Amino acid sequence: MNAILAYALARLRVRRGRVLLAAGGIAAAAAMLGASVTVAYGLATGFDRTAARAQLPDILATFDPQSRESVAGVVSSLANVRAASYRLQVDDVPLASGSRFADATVIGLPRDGTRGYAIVGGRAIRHQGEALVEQGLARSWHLRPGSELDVGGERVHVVGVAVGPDNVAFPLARRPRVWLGYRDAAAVTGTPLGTVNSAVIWLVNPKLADVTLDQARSAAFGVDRLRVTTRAGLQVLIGQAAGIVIALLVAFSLIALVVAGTMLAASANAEVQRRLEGLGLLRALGASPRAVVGAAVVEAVAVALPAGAIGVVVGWALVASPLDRLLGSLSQLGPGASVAPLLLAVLVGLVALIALASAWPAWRATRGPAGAVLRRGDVTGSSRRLPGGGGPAGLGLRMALARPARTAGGIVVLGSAVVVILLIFSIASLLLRLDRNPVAVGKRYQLTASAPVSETGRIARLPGVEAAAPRYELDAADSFDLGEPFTLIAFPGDHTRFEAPPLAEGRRVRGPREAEVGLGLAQVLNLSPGATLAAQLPSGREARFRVVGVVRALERQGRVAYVQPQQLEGEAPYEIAIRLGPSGSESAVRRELMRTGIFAAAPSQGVTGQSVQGWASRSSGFIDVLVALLRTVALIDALVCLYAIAQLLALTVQERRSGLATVRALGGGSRQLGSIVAFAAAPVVLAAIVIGLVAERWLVGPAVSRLAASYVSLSLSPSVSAVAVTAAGLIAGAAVTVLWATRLVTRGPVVTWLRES
Amino acid sequence: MAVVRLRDVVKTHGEGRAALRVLDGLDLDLEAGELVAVTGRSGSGKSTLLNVVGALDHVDGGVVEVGGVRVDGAPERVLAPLRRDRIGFVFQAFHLLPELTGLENVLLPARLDGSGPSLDRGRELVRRLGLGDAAERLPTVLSGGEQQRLAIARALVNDPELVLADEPTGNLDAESGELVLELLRTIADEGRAVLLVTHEREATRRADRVLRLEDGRLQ
Repeated sequence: MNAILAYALARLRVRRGRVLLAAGGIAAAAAMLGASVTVAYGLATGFDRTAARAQLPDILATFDPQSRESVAGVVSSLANVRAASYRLQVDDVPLASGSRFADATVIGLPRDGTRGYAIVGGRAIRHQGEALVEQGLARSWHLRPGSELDVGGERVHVVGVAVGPDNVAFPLARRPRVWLGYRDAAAVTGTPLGTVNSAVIWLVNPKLADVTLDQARSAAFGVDRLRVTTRAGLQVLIGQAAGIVIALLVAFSLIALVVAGTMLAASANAEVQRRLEGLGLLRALGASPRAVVGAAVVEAVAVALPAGAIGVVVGWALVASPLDRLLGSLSQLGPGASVAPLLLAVLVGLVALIALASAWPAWRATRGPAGAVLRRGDVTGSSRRLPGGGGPAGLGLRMALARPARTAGGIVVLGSAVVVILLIFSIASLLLRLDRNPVAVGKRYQLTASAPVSETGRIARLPGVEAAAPRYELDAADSFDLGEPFTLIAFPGDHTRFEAPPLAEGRRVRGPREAEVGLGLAQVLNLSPGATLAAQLPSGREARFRVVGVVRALERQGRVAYVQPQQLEGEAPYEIAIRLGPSGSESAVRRELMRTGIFAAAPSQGVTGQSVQGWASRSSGFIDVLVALLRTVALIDALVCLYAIAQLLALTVQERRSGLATVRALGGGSRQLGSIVAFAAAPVVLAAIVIGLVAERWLVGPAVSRLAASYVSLSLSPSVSAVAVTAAGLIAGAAVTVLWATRLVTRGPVVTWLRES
Repeated sequence: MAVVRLRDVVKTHGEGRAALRVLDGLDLDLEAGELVAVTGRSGSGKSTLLNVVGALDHVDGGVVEVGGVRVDGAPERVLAPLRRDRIGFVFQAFHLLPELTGLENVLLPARLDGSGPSLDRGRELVRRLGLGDAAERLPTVLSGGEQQRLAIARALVNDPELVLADEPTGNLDAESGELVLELLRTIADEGRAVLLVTHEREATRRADRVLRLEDGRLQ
């Protein structure tokens, strides 16, 4: 066995070019694996990881300002409470740093107690005049410990940077968060000392949060406008900002993982095919089948281990930074070193996969006669006549078709890569559509305006406007399960004129006591037509609706309910939804709204037409980060594609070296040999494009859509331009590898390869 | 003018202490219509000589001319058309492409540049060599004799002025070998230069000249 090992290692030393090619392919596929695993793990565990590090409370309650003592009295009467902290949280406090301004949420903290946020830079607040800023603000405004801020007219020193996973980060969230000591917060917001409006509670048994919430509701008599959210509810709220994006990326990464595994297995198999002569020689010299298989595995592992390790690390390094930025936008921490054990497991799995894929053809080679393997008897030719003419092109085609299993393997590998690339295009296009095109999220109106309901008719008559109606929107919680927040959306009359998510079940709303619920909400609360939706409104009042339909609403992960506004009026904020006519221009209507003097008497209700956009994000930076992530994976995938074609051609060229040398001996030049090689690659590349397109359109796209969001049907069909770009890229890549392979064939004297046969 | 002219040709195989100078200052002239047989012991460099003349291998020194074209040191873009149009090669192992039928193998050199007349000539050669049945079959189901006759037809399809045959009867039975040698004689009689490498005494009988390769030179 030692001799076998020595032989395997000696082969590696001598065949450096081939080893480098194999190592390059493994590294590229491993990079894809490393990147996919890092992205999937980082995104899937981001909230829980950050919540654990930040010691996120199990229950967050906000209410109208109360004395700390009275709130503490209520909380202390509850069972199952491990710890509680009472805070002052005030929105829209002016914030300035240099030439930058924003309206911030200021959170006044007590000196003691658990925090509920993670400090990622600097230190905690110890003295008056000190502040913590959220990471999103620190990044956007280039703040660091030592910087100075103007909060509500008071100068404070930034002593630390924090991440609070109970909300997305600035600028995805409109208001940045700044933590101050309680006294400072009270001072800058003009709040009487001893007053709080927020309580955060940690439970002994978080699984009994519902029981505690029920108790709280009963005990909180006298606490006005109580709104409570559980940790699970928070995760849903965060998801409303970017849940679909994360779900898409995670689903995509899982697909990429499978694809990379397929590529690695196919490549390892092909590598051993290229080494069959050596294995035949070992058999001829009397090596046992076990030793022959061992030699193949040792040789494969010796290349796979270092190349795989490098690839995995490179894949991780390529996506680590954009992933951290993406998670940072959601107020979540990057995976850091916690992903290392997983990456190590990926490396072990990768090496095991390659070892297995290498062992299989080697084991098969030990089954037949040793002589056949030694002279690569399996390529002496087929007794079947294959399609294709007798010229160089036909010869190339027949060379490919003479190895149907390999050709099919190549098609599977390349087709998988095409699927991944088309998926990237489709996801990117979907995200942009969701972000910029209101119709994509089921909205049929283009503008909203803050104006009294009485002005609706007037707005509707403006040139270019087809229809206008007040749109009420209210955050509510299920009365039976307070941890499940959702959004009530109401239009007077038929809401489908303005928002028409497809009906999955039942019918549309016809009366004030009926509701259409999003599929996401229906799944969480187990609702179906005929069930009752009991919504606890922010005032504490309960509104009940009979569910008459279930809709595939994309907005807020489908946790919405469409109703008519009668039960909400007086409580629900609204804006006027404006639907433009076919010839209506958004900017023209917006100008018209600004120009009409009807609102001049009430400047506080001045109309500023707002585009219905930013569903997926409220920051172009967020999309930029996503695009960077997707581009990285696409780049790695393209490299894997190149490698797959190169390996396929190298294997064909090596196996058919005798035939190709004969063609050279008969006077075939670079053009003719190039034609042969090109047509050997053509069926694989063309079939991969077609099969990849079909698989993405009808199989993988819908699968990713289902994986990402069961509450809605996302269209992940590639556009014509995406298909064209992918096909052109693949053909260009194939052309490059054909040139390379042709150079291999035409390099050196003809007799070298002729003699080998 | 000689179809083949070799002057002071040197070719070494291997490196360092294993280096072996198989052609060592070799000279050769081959005229049109002449069949020259080269003999020598195994490993004496007979096939190397043929490869050098056929522009299949590089030389380390000397001059190699085929049809007035310098082969030594010439780039591939010069050598490929030379091999296609002016040289026909007959190999001991036939080297028929297993993916192509007999006729397609014969026509391959003509199809490499898509020349029309050679296609007709290929079909005529197949008919003349009595390969009608073999023409439509794949090489794997043909006898050695049929394969070698197809290889000869392929060597002639572009009507070359030089035919090189490397042990063309080495893999054939006596009857088939006789037929092949007869064919080569006919080819020379038609005005082509034929260089035949063989170690079979029978093969040399039809040659106009018999040269022995020894110590890297032709005797």
